[in-house]
Amino acid sequence: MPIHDLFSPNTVLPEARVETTDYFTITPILYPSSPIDSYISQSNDIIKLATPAQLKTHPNLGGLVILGIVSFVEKYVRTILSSLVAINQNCRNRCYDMQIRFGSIDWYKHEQMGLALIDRDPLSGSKEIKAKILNIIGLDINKNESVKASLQDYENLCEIRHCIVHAAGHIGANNAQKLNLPEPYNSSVVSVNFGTIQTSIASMENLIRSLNLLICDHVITTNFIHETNPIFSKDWSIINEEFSRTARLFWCESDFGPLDDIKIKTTFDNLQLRFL
Amino acid sequence: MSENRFEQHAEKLSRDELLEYYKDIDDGTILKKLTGRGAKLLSAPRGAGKSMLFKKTYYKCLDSIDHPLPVYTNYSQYFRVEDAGHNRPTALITFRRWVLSKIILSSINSTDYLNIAALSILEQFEINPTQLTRFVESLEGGTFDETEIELSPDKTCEILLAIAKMANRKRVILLLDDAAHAFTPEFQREFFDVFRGLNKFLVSPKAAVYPGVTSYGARFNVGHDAEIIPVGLEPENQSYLEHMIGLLEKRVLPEELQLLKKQDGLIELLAFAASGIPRAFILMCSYYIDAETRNPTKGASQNGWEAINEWNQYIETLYESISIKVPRFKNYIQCGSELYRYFLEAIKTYNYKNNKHSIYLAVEEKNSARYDMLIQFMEYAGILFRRKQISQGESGLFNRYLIHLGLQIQHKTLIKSRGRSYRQLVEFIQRPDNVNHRISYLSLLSGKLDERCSLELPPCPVCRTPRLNGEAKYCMTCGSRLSDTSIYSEIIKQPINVLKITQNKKEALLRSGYFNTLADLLPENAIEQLYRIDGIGRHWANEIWQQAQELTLA
Repeated sequence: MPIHDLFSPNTVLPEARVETTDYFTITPILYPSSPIDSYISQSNDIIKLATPAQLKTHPNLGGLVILGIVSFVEKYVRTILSSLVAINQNCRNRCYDMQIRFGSIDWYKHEQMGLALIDRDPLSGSKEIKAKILNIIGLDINKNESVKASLQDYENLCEIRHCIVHAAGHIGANNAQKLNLPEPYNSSVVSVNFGTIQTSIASMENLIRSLNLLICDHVITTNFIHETNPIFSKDWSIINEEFSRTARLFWCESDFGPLDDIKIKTTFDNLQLRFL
Repeated sequence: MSENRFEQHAEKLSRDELLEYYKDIDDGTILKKLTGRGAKLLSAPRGAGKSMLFKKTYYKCLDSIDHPLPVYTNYSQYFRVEDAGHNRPTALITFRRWVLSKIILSSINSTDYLNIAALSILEQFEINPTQLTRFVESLEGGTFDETEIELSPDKTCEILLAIAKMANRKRVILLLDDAAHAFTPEFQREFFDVFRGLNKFLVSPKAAVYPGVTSYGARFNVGHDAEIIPVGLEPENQSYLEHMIGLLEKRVLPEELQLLKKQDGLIELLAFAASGIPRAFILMCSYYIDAETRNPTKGASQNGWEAINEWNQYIETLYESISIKVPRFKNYIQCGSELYRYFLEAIKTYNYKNNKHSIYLAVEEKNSARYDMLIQFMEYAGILFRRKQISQGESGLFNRYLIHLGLQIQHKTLIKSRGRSYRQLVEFIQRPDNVNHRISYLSLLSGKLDERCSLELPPCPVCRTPRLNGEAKYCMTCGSRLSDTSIYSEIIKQPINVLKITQNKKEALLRSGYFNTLADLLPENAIEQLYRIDGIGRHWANEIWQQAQELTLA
């Protein structure tokens, strides 16, 4: 005689199975816009969901938006790093001694080896991001206060995301310690209101914008302005392709409008003028 | 008695002047709490004597080896630091460094006073005072400085305790003046986060705050993390007049006191008109003495009424300036101006019609955040003062307020008679049968208070959709980032029209070609330039400069 039907009804429910292929759409490898533009577009899209009225009706919506934002940040970092491995010889040189799993080599195409390189590395924390940027690009972002401050916010949001993903928003001792929460919060649950969502999104936008500027400065300086490889000594026809790929990677369309060949050349000329 | 005897700000008085003019507000309990252990928050409106208490504590402790080592720091330059860090991701980190750097630099002032060389200790902790000074000066000068200064509340406490040991003191007290001198809640919250971190067994921080408008943040638990000490004298208190007159005797010359006493009831009335704010009382008396000396009058002097009106004008300017400092609250301030005039009218009608005696107003308790905000702004400016709530049985609870007595005198809310005298008004205020005139919440702003108190927010710069609310950082229609302007830069851009001076004087300033905005009036040497303008004169040069300073501070 079963016992469980004394606790909850043993109703026969229609079958429901997860078919994994239903959850994905096949997209081309190349990203339609620069990583920063993708980030801004995804972030702007998700912001509009979380209105005060929607948040009131759906209390879990705020947490989902936080998950989305953290995911967009991680995606930005992954894209920038893998793209630089694909287009930048200095970054490729730095990666020569790094190991890639066989499975990743088998799964990714040749031009996606950058993604294969960081495939198993979680980027859901400031330490991981700092380490990867240092190893692949050779840039120590610890020296930049703006990025450091925003990365601390990212670290906190990742910890909050942890509570949402693993305990339906309930906080654990480990999370509380990392978030530096005082004692009254030991029985608390993540509750994200309109103001906190707006602040989180603003802080992450600051992070992405600062990172984009910092990495761009570093890449342009080390590749095009470096003493041993001065930008002025090269003919445009030789440098055109390499410079265009770099410009497309860091260009922020939402600030400067769409990028075309004329704009790339103007940017190159302005850069030359600045360093002449 | 020095030239500085009418100086309104304790921060500007020398040690000797301060000790000469100081008078205990109470039986010494506050001073005891300030020298004792534990975090404390000294809460009072402007001019109530917070800085005086801090400075008195500072010198008292410096002068006695039995007391802890005092460190006095003033944060009145908050606004400039906020402005320098505006829209920068590291603004709060830099602000934190500024708060701690100022404490370290102030500890050097204490050791200098005690003739102790603390530099070796700073070196031991790898702190370079020249670097700290440069950092603080550049921020306060409006230049954002991201110099890495390795200072945390813990490290600051360690340094202070090492200095205290050198000075043969067992403990340290931190006297953090003008701690709530900012209207950006993020900065205030950051400040109180640091404040909490500075509270140790042997280090006790004390901060001066304003009632109502200070944001402590979620991490700071008022009452648990720090005890609130209300400062100020209540005009209803039996010893009030005795205290105020005692304070006056320390500030004026005997012949000046005689001049004030010539008018029966004048000193007492000015004390009541100050509504418990010593700075107001001293200023009104000095105005009267100055006016009588320059232009003596016979009989009932007009100069006494003018002294009261002068101070009233100052607090009204201070109140209205909130809408310049925090433009989003413009509607609140407008509603508040109507509301306190309505309060004054209500008391007047009550006293005139019923031949009763009331200086209080009791407003039906209503749970409204907007109404609370309105009242808080008025408390900050000292327009009204909360008194104990009263219960009226079935009619419910009523919030009881003392409306600024100076304003009540100016608006003639108390006595109907035309030829009212100073003495008559003093007796009215002192009557023990003063009752509370009760009014309903719904009568406020014709029942439209909650509707009219909305935030004034700029729309989205891209699609012009109005901002959803004060917390919105993105447009909810197009997703664009909404930009905030720096409060300080907006404040100093204000035209001189915001000054409370006559139209003729405003025109004279504009004609000079030097003074178009408040920013032009801020430099110290502006007073001299103002003095040279026809139609301004010495008194108004000072007054205009003071007004500009007040309007640009929090």
